[in-house]
Amino acid sequence: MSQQEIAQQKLVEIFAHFGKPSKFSKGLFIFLILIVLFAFYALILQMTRGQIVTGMRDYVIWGIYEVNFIFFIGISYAGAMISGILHLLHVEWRKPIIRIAEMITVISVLIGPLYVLLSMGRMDRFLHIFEYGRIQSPIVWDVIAITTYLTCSILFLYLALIRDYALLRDNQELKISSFRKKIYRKLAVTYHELPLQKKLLNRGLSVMSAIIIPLAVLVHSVLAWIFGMTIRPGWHSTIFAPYFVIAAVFSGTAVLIIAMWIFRKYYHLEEYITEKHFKYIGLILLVLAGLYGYFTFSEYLTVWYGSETWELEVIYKLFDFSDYGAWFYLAAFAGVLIPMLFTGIPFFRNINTITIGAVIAVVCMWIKRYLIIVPTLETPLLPNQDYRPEYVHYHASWVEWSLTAGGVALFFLFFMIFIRFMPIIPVADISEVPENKEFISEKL
Amino acid sequence: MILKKIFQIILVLTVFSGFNRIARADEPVTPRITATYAKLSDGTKRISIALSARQNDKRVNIPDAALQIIAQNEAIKTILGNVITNQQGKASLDIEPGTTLPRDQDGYTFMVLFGGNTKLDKTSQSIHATEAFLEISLNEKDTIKTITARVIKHNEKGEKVGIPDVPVEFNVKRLFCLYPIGNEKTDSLGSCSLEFPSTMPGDKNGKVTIVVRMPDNETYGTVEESKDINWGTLLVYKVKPIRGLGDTDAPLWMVYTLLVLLTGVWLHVVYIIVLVIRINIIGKKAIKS
Repeated sequence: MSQQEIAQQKLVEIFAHFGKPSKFSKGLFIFLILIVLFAFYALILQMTRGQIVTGMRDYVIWGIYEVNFIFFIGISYAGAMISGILHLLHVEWRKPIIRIAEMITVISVLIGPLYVLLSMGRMDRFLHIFEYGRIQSPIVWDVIAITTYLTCSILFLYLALIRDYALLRDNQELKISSFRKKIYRKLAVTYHELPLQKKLLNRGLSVMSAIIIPLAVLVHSVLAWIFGMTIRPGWHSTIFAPYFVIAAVFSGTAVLIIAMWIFRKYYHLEEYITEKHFKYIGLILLVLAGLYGYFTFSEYLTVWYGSETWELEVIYKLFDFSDYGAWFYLAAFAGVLIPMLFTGIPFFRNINTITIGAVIAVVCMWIKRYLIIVPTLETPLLPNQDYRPEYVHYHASWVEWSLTAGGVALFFLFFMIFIRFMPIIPVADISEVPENKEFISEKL
Repeated sequence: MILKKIFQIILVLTVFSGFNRIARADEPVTPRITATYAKLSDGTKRISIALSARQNDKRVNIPDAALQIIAQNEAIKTILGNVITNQQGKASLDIEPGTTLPRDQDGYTFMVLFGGNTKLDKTSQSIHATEAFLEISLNEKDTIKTITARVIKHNEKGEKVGIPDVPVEFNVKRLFCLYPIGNEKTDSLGSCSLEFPSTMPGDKNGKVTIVVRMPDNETYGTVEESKDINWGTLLVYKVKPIRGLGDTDAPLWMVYTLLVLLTGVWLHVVYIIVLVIRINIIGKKAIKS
């Protein structure tokens, strides 16, 4: 059987999983739509009544919206770093999981910045950042960096899809509508696996994977500088940029593991996404957990040892069990040690435990972002004459939780839509027989 | 045996003290009002109040409590106003200069009333302040600048007499608070002096505001007086700061770095688009041939 025929056969197999939506996926789709609609109602409420419907007040001006923003941009690292690095290093086992990673990147970069708009008191003034933005402002850097990052992520995903679109266009066995065929024909740009076309496409992919890595690092560094360049205790730190980058890759990898588990289980992709993939990605998660733990320890040890008055106010809020202590220790210890335990010790290491470790890591990383933003803002540098507890202490309102749930629902909805139009497994790639590799025989 | 007895006594006392606490738990507590009087340099009279109560053997501040302040003498009672305590249980009332207050022989009596509620008893506190005045004179001889303060009151005949042996603070007004430059005590004539520090910065004209206070006196309250004079060193403003947060122009290195980075990335984006177009052209040519 020729390579092309293998590819065509695999394509039919994989797309058979996504051909007709099941009752469960229809129900899930409706459920997610309902969540998004409810979030939309909350959004209208916020736009008409103003930010009084949120828990944000004079002191805590960034609540869980900003937490979600950092969280979503963080998980976008799954595609940018994992996919980019593995592509550059020509790691063969990456192929079945690389598409999921790239999709996570594009979807999360589409959703994340929406939360910045929600944080704004006057959304209609968003365009002012382009009209009156000052180049020396980290907020302007952030807008530029995220726009560029989104463009590059979409291009990276599209380049990787061209060969699959060509297969979809040419496959006669697949029963898809003429409209979809037309779309595939356009997106496949007359690609016919000609040697020169293949060469150019591979060059493009290598360039994009090389560009996307420093770009992703820059985006999260800029995000960290929004905090680090203020002189607020808890934020003004020289290691914030690398700390944010490591935290982002850590959470991105964890989300990738969860997505792999869901797709493998629900779409029966056991043949393509094997235990080996979980173990390899799990080992990456182990290294990242160690690095993240090291950065956390270094950051808090330095601040605590320095005993600077204002810094200590924040740090004791984090250490105190009557304040944020429980959440802090959960994020700092459970969020690092449990994923390390499940990925590091062979006895515990299997698909399910690695996924559980990833879920714990993701939850703890969200909590960690909350702990970076809220306790700091609850510690005002200049005391006000009238600081009522409700002005200082932040509790997210139902509107904020609804819009958070809406973002998560939108994330899954986008995934469901994406997989209807894009092969979740890069068929053209996994059908290639690499030199001196037992690739096909391992069905990797 | 003795130890057993001691233990029994301690046990009984502990149980009884517990009952006593339970019994007291529902009874209203009598709060404590602490009021002080101050006469500021612009002639404003300020009544500062703190309201607190004992709760679980701890003194706690009472916020959001309404208090009424009355000025009174034997014949007249005038309601000056109502105030509400803040989160620290504190409130203050300013009486504007020129307000006519009922006065007695040597000063004013103020009454602070708390109406009570279900948890706190009704209570009141009165304070009396004998009216005192501060006079400041500023003298410069050779290069030595001296501040002389005199604390006085009116006697029965209406004559000015000095108040001896009271502490006086000398300060210079800064942006957020007072900067203390010295403390003295009045002599038998009610006077005291202090040399003004020659290195004290003033504004761009050398102007400083000297504030002299007689603080927290039991009889007279706090009395404050101030005077402006150009005794300070001249403040020279830096015309061009090296870098300012509100600068409208970005540093050039930042502009160049951003341009290089953006151009670098976006050129690659353009390059990828060109590659896709080339792939398309190659494919079309192949189809034609």
